[in-house]
Amino acid sequence: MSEARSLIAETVNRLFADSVDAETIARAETGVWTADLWRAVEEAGLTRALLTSKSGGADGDWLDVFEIARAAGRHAVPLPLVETILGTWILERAGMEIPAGPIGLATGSFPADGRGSLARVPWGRNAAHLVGLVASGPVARVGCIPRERLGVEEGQNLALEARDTLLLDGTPPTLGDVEVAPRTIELYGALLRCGQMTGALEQILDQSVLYASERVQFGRPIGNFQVIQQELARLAGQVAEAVTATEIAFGAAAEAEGAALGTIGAPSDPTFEIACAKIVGGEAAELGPRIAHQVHGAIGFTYEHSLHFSTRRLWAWRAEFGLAEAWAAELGKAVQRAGGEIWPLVTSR
Amino acid sequence: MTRFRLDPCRLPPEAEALRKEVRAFLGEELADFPTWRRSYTWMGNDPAFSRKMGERGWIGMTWPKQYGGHERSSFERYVVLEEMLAAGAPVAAHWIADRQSGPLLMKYGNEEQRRDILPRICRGEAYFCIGMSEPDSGSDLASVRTRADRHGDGWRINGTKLWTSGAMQSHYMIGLLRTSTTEKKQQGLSQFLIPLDGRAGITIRPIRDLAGNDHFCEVTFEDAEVPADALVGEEGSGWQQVMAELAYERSGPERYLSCQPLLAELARHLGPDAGVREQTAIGRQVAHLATLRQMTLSLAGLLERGENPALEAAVTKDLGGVFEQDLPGIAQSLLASEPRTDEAAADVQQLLAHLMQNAPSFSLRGGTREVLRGIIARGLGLR
Repeated sequence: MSEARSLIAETVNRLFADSVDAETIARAETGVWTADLWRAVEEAGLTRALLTSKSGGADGDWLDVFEIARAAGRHAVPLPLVETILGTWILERAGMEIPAGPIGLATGSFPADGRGSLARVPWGRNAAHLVGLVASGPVARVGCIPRERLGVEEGQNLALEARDTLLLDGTPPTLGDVEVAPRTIELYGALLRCGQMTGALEQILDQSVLYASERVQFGRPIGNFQVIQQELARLAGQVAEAVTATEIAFGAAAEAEGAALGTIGAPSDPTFEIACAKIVGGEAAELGPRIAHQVHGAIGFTYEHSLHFSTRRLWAWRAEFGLAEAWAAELGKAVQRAGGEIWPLVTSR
Repeated sequence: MTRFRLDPCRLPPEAEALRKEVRAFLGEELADFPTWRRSYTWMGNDPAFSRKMGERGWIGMTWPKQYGGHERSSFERYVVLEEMLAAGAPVAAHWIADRQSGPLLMKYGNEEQRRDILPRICRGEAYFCIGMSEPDSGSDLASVRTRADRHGDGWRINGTKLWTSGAMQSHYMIGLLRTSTTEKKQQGLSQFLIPLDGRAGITIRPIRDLAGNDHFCEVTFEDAEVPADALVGEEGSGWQQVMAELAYERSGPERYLSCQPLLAELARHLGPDAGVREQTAIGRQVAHLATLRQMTLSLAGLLERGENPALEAAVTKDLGGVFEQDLPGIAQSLLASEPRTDEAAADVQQLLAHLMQNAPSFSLRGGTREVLRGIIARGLGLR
C-alpha cells in the first residue's frame, strides 16, 4: 500500500473510531439522522474524495476511496458516505454543479419525464439531492433533482439503514451535458459495497479472534481449541480472498478513469474485476458471519453485543447492487459467449 | 488488526511478452497430447518434455548464468509456470528441482555441487525428490526418525521415507534427517543431498495410488553411505531451512490450478448457449480463479522482494485447495454424466474421472489443510 493510502486509512479509521460507537449506530438504526457525524465527514473532505481540486476535491483516486469505504464498513458508519462520493464524482464528470449535503443515488433508471417513483434509494429521506441516470440507448445523461421536491415512503434494509422510495412530482431533473455509461451507478455502487464489505469482514474477524482469546470454557480460552482455530482460519481465508478481489477491482477502477464501462473482458473496463469482487465478497459475506456467530455463541446473538452491526450489514450489502449469483450469471454468460476461453481472459486482466 | 500482506502485483511487460512465446511452444508441443493426461500437470513425468523446456531456458530461469541459469526475473518464471500448469503440460520431472532443490543448493550447497548439479537441472536432466514424510511422521514432520550418523569421513543413513513423489525418476533426494537426538524435536534435524544413483543401502519402491498411478514412493535406507558434503547447510538447522523452503513449496500457482484443464474443457463443452445455471457456475469459478491468481501473484511479489510469506502462502494454498477440490463435483453436476476413464468416453468425462480421483490429494500434499489452518491460526495470534 502506498504511503498516502496508508495515511488516508489511518486518518479515516481514527475519525470513525472516535466518533462512531455502538450507541451511535443503535440510535441511527431507530431512524435518527446523525447530523454531527455527517458534518464531521463533510468537513474532513471525505464526500469529495474523488473530485478534482478545481471542484474543491482531494484529487483522490479509487484506491483512496477503497480505504474510505473499507473504514466506513469496518465502523458501520450510518451515513450515505460512499453514495455521496459516487454521486459527486458522477456530477463532476457530467460537468454539473456539485451541491453540498448528502446525495441519494437512484439505482434504477431515472424517468426523463420526472414521473413515477424510485425504489430503495439509500438514505433517500436524508439526501439533499438525488442523482440518477437517464438512459437512452448505449449512453445515459446524468440527472439531478433536489430531494425536497420528492415525496418519501420510508423503508429499510436488513441492517436498518434507510432505503426509501422517492416519489417524483413530474418535474424533470436537471440534466448534464456530458454522457456517461448507463451502468455507472450499478457498477460503482457494487464496487463501493464491496469496499464496505471488506471492512466489515475484517471487523468480524478481529472481533472473533479477540473474543476467542478472552472467552474461557473448559478451563481455557476457546481459541486454544483446534476446532475453533480451524474455523477462524477459514474466516481469515474468506477475508483475505475478499480483500484481494476488492482491492484489485478498486485498482482497475482507478486505472479505467474515463474509459468505457459495462463490458466484461473489454480492455480498460473494470466490469470484470468488479463482478469478481462482488461474487467473491458476496460469498465471503455469507460464510464469514456464520463462522463469526458460531465462535461468539449466544452473546453474539444479542442486540447488546456489537457483532451484529457488522454481520447484518454484510447480509444487507451482499444483496445490494447485485447478489453474487447475478454477477456470476453475467460473468459466466460473457465467458461462454466469448467462446469459453477462461484462461486467456483471466491472464489478460 | 489482521492484515495480510497480499498487495496487488502486476506482471512487467517482458513477462507478458514471454507468455506469447510459451503459448506458441505449448500449442506445438502438446498438439497431440491426450486431453486426460493434462490432468496430471505437475504430477506428469516426461523427461523429454523437461529437456525441451531446458533448451528453451525455462528451468532455473532466475539463477545465475555461471550455474546454467538465465538471470531472468521471478515474474518471467511465474508466467512460464502458470502457462505450463494451465495447459496441463507434463512438468513433474524437473518441477521440484526448479522450485526448491536448486534454490536450496544455491544457498547452502558447496561450489562443486553448484557447478556439477545446477547446470544439469537447468538442462532438464537432473531431477529431485523431497524426503520429508515417514511412516510415523506425516503432519508432525518434526518427529522424523530417519537418521544420519557420522561414519568415517561421511554419513551413514538408516530409516524410511514415505510418500516421496517422483523418487523412482529422481537423481537426488533432499532428505530431512535426524543428526542428533535432543529434547526439542525441531532441533537436531539436518538436510542432506542424497544421490539416488543405485548405491548400496537405498531401496525405492513405488506405491500405487487409488487411481492406479505410482508417482509416490517408499524409500528405505539401510546403512546407506553418503559423503561428508552431503550435509546441506548447517548441521542441526534442518528445520529452519525446511520452513524457509516451504514458502516456495506452498506459494506457487500449482496450488490452485490443478483442475484448470477440466474447467477449460467444461466451458468448451457447455458452449455459448449454456443455460443460466451453467453460466452462474462458470462465472463463480472464474471469479475465484482470477482472485486466487492475484493472490499467488502477490506471493510471487513478496518472494521477489526477499520476504517470507509463510502465512499468506498458507492462506492462499488453503483457499486454492478448496477451489480445486470443488471443481470435479461442480463439473459432474453440470455435465450430469458419469466420470469415465475408458477411451470411448468424451475428453471432459476422462478429465473428470482422473481429477475426481486425484482431488483428495490436493489438500494433503505440501501440508494438509489442517496444518495450514494451524499456521493461519498462529498468524492470527491464537497459538
